Amino acid sequence: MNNLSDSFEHFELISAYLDGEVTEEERAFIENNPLLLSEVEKLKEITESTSSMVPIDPVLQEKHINKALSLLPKNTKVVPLRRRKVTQRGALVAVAAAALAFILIPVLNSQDNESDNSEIFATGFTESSSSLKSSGEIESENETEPQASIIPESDEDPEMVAESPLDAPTTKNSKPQSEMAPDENTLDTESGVASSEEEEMTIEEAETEAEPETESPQIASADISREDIVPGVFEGTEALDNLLETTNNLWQVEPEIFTIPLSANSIGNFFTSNADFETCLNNTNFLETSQHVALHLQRVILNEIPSLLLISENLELETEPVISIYQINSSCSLVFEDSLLERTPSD
Amino acid sequence: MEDQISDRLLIEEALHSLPDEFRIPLILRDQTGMSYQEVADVLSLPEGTVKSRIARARARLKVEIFGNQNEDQNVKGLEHE
Repeated sequence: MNNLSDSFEHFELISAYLDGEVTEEERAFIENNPLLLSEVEKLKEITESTSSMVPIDPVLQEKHINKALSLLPKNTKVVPLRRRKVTQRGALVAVAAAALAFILIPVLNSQDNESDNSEIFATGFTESSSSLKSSGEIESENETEPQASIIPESDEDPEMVAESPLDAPTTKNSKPQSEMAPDENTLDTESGVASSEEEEMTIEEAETEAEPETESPQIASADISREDIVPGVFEGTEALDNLLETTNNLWQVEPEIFTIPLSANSIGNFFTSNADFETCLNNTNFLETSQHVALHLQRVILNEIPSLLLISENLELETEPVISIYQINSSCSLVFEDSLLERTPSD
Repeated sequence: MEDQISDRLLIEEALHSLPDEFRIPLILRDQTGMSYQEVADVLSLPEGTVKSRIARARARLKVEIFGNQNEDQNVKGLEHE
């Protein structure tokens, strides 16, 4: 009889019996066998335990953690168990989102280019020149689903926060990107065209056609309210050094800015607003989605050349985020790439 | 109360120690109430495989919780069949 109860086939049968996934014949077989029935009881106990386990509510968990931390004596240093948990949890979904963006953007652009190519560029330039609203802001307005996110405050340790949804843009500390009046920053998000008067728009378009390179960087970031993350223009012999230094400083001061993966919408909006960067999507090295997840995208001018600043994270290696700078030309050449902290600008 | 917490921690630990291939079907079945067929559809696995993996997951949990060495060997042996 031991053979009967120890046999895995019978164990499998018992397991299926508990789940109500047996035939009448199998049910009868088990119910007529006391040893199997005793096994059923044991297994039932386990099944009930695993069934009753409810995932812990992250909000409640955060509350309890904060309460526990508040009870700690002052000057006690809390060392997080896992440094990069927030990022890594979101990384997989971000990869999927990025992959989706890669698939959708060329398709959408090819469709639009056939019918209304000029409108895209006009819209993009309008956004660039007037610094209306960042693509992230547009995205946040378009999103209809409520975001139950917990975004770390800038003065908090990002490692101590609960997991955040991946594409959870926040509107806190929202600042205008440029110094223009708020009215001029209004954008009709449904049409993607500035809602200011047509006359003004025509003037802006004319200006941007004459001077297509704008000094206002277009940013796609998880924390889209931080539009002034990195200045948009870097000139001179130390332009690259300055750009890297600025980014590096920001990473060290506020690393949480670079820990939330970009959503597909953010990436999509970025490339829609920066049509001249589309060549990067065809660059095989750019945002290799099998390994990297994009944390931050920004348009910068590096010695008068429009460039793309990408901060990404390698999913496989637990390293610091990587900063990549692509020069926007026909092939979207990679001009610099290194870890944020280990970069050597002068090289 | 302490016993309950202790039991829960034990089960939780045992559950997390399971390889994904066993844990995921079990969680889908026990915590979401999916049928074997639904789990099979979600995981793109044959229904028989789902049935087997759920049983193996439970067998492992049983070993972890009740500490039956014989069954442990039995289950491990069967895994390599």
